[in-house]
Amino acid sequence: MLKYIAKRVLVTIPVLIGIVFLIFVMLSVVPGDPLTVMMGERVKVDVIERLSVTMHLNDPWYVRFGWYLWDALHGDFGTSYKLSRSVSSLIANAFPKTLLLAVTAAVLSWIIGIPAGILSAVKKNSLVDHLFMGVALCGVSIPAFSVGMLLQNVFNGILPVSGFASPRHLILPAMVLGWNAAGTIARLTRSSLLEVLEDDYIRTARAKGLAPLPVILGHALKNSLLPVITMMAIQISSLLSGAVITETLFSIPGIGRLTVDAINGRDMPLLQGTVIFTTAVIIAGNLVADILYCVVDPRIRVEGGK
Amino acid sequence: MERFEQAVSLAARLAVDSVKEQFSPEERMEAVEKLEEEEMEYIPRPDTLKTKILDMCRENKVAAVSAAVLVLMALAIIFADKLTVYDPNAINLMERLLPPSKAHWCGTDDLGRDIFTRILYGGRVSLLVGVIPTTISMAIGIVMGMVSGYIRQLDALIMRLADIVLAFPSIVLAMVVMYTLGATTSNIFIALSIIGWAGTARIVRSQTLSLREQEFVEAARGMGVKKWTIMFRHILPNCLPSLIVLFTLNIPDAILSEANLSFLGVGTQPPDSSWGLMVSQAKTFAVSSPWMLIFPSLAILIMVLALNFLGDGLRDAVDPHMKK
Amino acid sequence: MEEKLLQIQDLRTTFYTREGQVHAVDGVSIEIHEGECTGIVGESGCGKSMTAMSVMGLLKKPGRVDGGSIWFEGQDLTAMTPRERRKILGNRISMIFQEPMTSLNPVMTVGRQVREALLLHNRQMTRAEARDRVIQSFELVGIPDAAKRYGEYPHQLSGGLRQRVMIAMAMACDPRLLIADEPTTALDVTIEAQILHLMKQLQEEKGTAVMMITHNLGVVAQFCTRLYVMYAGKVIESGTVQEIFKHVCHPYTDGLMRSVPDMKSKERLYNIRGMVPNMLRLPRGCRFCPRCQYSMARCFREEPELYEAAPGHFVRCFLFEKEEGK
Repeated sequence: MLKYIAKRVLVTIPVLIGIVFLIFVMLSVVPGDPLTVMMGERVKVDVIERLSVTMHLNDPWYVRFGWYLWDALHGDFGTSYKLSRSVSSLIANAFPKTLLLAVTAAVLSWIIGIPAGILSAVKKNSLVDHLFMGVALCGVSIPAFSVGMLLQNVFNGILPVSGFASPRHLILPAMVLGWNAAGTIARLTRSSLLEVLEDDYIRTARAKGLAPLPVILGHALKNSLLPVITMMAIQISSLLSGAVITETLFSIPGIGRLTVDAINGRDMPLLQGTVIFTTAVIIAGNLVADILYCVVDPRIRVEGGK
Repeated sequence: MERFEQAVSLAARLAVDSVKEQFSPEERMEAVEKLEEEEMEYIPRPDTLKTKILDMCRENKVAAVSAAVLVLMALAIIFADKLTVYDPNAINLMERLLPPSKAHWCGTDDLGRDIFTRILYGGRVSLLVGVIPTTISMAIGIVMGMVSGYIRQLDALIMRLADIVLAFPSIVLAMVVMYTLGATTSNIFIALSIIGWAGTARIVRSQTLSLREQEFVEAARGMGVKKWTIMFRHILPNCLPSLIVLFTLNIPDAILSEANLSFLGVGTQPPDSSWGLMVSQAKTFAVSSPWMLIFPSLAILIMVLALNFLGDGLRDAVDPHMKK
Repeated sequence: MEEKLLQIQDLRTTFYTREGQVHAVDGVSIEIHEGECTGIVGESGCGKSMTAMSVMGLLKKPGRVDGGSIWFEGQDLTAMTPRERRKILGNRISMIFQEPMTSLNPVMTVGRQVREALLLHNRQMTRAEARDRVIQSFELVGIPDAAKRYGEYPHQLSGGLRQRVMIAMAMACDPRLLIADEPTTALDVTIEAQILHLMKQLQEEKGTAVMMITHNLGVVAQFCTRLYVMYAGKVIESGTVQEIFKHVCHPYTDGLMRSVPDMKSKERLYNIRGMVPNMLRLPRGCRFCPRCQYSMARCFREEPELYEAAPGHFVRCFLFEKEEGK
C-alpha cells in the first residue's frame, strides 16, 4: 500500500508544477503593466526601475517563472498590488474561513445525502425514491446563487444574511453550498448501492437467511460507499468552486472572495496565489481520498491480492 | 410389472416396430425447415440506438416530457420576437419594478424592461452557451481521448494535461481564462471549452482502451487499416451511445457555469442578457421585487432539470453501465 | 431413506420481460429424499438454476414464482412469509453458488462471513464460540491454517479455497438440504475433483441431502443417486442414476451422454444438433423436436407428457408412450 501511495504522491508533482506554469503563463499575457496597476499612473521612473529589478519584471518570462516557482516553494507568493500585504498572509487569513464553510457544507451534505441515497435505493421506484431523487436533481440543476438569494430573501431578519461574525452566519451559506453537494451524493449513493445489490455476494448473504436490512447495512453499504469516497474528494473541488459564489453572495472574507477581489482589482500576484493555493488544496484532497480508499478497500490495503 | 418386460432403453425402444411411425430423414428436415421459416417470420425488434431511444420515450415518461419541454423552450427562444411585443433592452423608467400582470407576465425589472421578454432573449445566450462550448469541448475531448487510448506514447502526456485541467476548481479556472481573454460571450465559449474537454477525454480514453482489444479492431489492424481510420471508423461509432449521454449531461453544466461566471461579473456583459446575469442583477431587488429573481431562476431550473432528466433517461436506455 | 425432504410440485417460474413472458421453469416436479444426492442436469438456460433460486426464494426481478408448491419438511415454502423463509435459509436449506470468485463479500473477512451465518441462526451462541466453530468448520473443509485464514479477505484466497469457504458457510448450521449450483464449473479440473470429494464426504458424514445442479454428467455419475434431466424449463427424464445410465431413454439425454468424451472410444464426439430454443418462442410441440434425430410428425404438433418407461423412470417422449391394451 505504501508503494501505491508513494506512486500516487509522485504523480501529483508534475500536475502541480503544470498548474503553477499554466496559471503563470495565462496571467503573464494579460495586457497592462503591473506597476501601473499597483501604484497608479504617476510614479517616478527610478522607482519603477528599482521595482522592476526586484520583481524580475525585466527578465524573460521563463526566468520569472523560475523565480516564481522558487519563491512559491518557500511559501512566498509575492505581495498583493492592491492590499500591500504578502499574498501568503492574506491566504492564511482567509483560508480557515473557507475551510470552515466547506467542511460544514460537506458534513451537511453527507448527513443528508447518504441516508437519502440509501433510502431511495432500498425503496427503489417508490414515492420516496422519486421525491428524493427529484429534489436531488433540483439540487444540481439550479445555480447556487439563485438558491442563496432565495434563502436570503426568505430568512431575511431571521438569520444573518451576510458577513462572517458568528456560527449563525454560517447557517445559510453552508445550506446553499451543501444543498448542491447533497444532491450529488444522494444520487451517487443510490446508483452505487443499486449496482452493488446486484452483485453475487449479496445473493450469498441473502442465502444465509439475512433479512433485507442487514444485507444492505452489513454487506452492500460498505462496498457501495467506495465510489462515494472518491466523490467526496471531487466534492472538495466543487465545494471550493462553490465557495467562490457563496462567499461573494454572503460577503464572507474567504479564499473565494479573495479570488474574486483579485480579479476585479486586476491584482495579479494575489490571483496567482489564490488560484494556485486552491488548486493545491484540491490535489491534496484527492490524495487524501485515494489514501482513504486504500484504507477502506482491503483489496488494495492487504497485499497478496490477485 | 409386465408392461415393462420389454427393455426400455432408447435403442431398444426404437427397435420395436410399432413405434416406427417415424419420419424419414427427408420428412424431418422438411418439418424442421418449416419451423425455422416460422421462426424467420418472427422479426425480433432490432436493437439499434434509434429503437432504444424510441423505447425510452415510450417507457420513461419523465424523459419524454423533458424532451418535449426542451423542444418547446428552444422554439420559444428561437421565435422570441414573435412571442412578445416588447424590446428586451427598451428602458422604461415609468414602468420599473412592476409585479407580474397581464401586460407583463413576469413583471418588469429595475429599468422597466419586460422580464418575460428578457428571459426569451436571454435564453438565446444561455442556450448557445450550453450547446457551443459543449460541442467544441467534446470534439476536443473525443480526439484527445481516442489518441490517448490508442497511441500509447501520447497517453501519459494527454492524461497529465487532463489531470491538470481537472484539478482546477472549474469556476476559478473559467474566471482566470475570462480575466485573461476579457469578458465577452465568445470568450465564454472558449473558457468553457478549455475546461470541459478533460472529462470527455477520460471517458473516451477508457472506452478506447477496452475497444482496441476487441476482435473487430484487431481484425482491422490485421488487415492494415490505418490508425486514424480505425479510430474514427471503428472506435468512435462504438463510443457513440455514451457520447450522446455525455453531451446531454454536459450542456446543463455549461449553462450553470455561464450563470456562475455572469454572477461573478466575468460572464455575459450588459446590455446583453443571459438567465444567469438576470438572476444576479436581481440581487439588490430580491426582497422588494422577488419576481426579478424567481422567473429567470425558474427558466434555468426547468431547462437544466429537463436536460438532466433526459440525460439520465438516455443513459439508462442506451448505456446502462456508464457512470457519471 | 425413502422420506421425502423436498417436494417441488408443478413449479412455474416466469420472468416478465419487455419482450414477453419467459417461462423459465414450466411445471417442474422434483422430489429429493432425505440424505440422498439428486442431480439436475441440462444445458445452460434450461431452468435448472432458476428452479434452485425458486426454492431459495432468491429470484431476482422480473422473475416470480407463479404456480406450484415447494414442500420442505412438511411445510409449503411458497405459502410462507419472507421472515419464516429466512429462518430456513442458511439453516435448514443452504446453497453453494457457481462463482466462488464473486460470491464472497470483498470487504469482509471470510471468517466473519461464515460466522454471520452461524450467529444468525443460533441466537444463544457467543461470538467467541462462533469463531471457534468457524475455525473448526474451516478445518473440516480442508482449509490449511484455518485460524489464520479466518481473518483474511476473499481476494487473498484461491478459487478452490474460496469454494471451500462457501461450503463451510453452507454447512455451518448443518442443513438438511444443500443446493449446489454448478459448484465446480469455475474451478480447475484437479480442484474440481477435490471439492467434489469433500462434498461427498461431508454429505455422507452429516447425512445432508444434496441437490446437485450441473451440466456435467460425469459429476452426476460419481455423486448422485437420482437424476432429473431438464430441457427448456421442463423435466424430460427422471429416475435413478443407475437406471438412466443403463437404459437411457430420452433422445436428448442420449445425446448428452454421447457428448461426454470417452477415452476408450475412437469415434468422433457426438454433438446435439442446433441450439437451445429461444425461450420466448418455444416450438409448439415437443420442445426438443427440432433438434431430435427421431422426431415424428406428432412431435411437431403435440407436447408429450411424462411417461413411465420403467418403474420410477419417467420420460417425456412419445416413443415411450404406453400403448393401449399392452
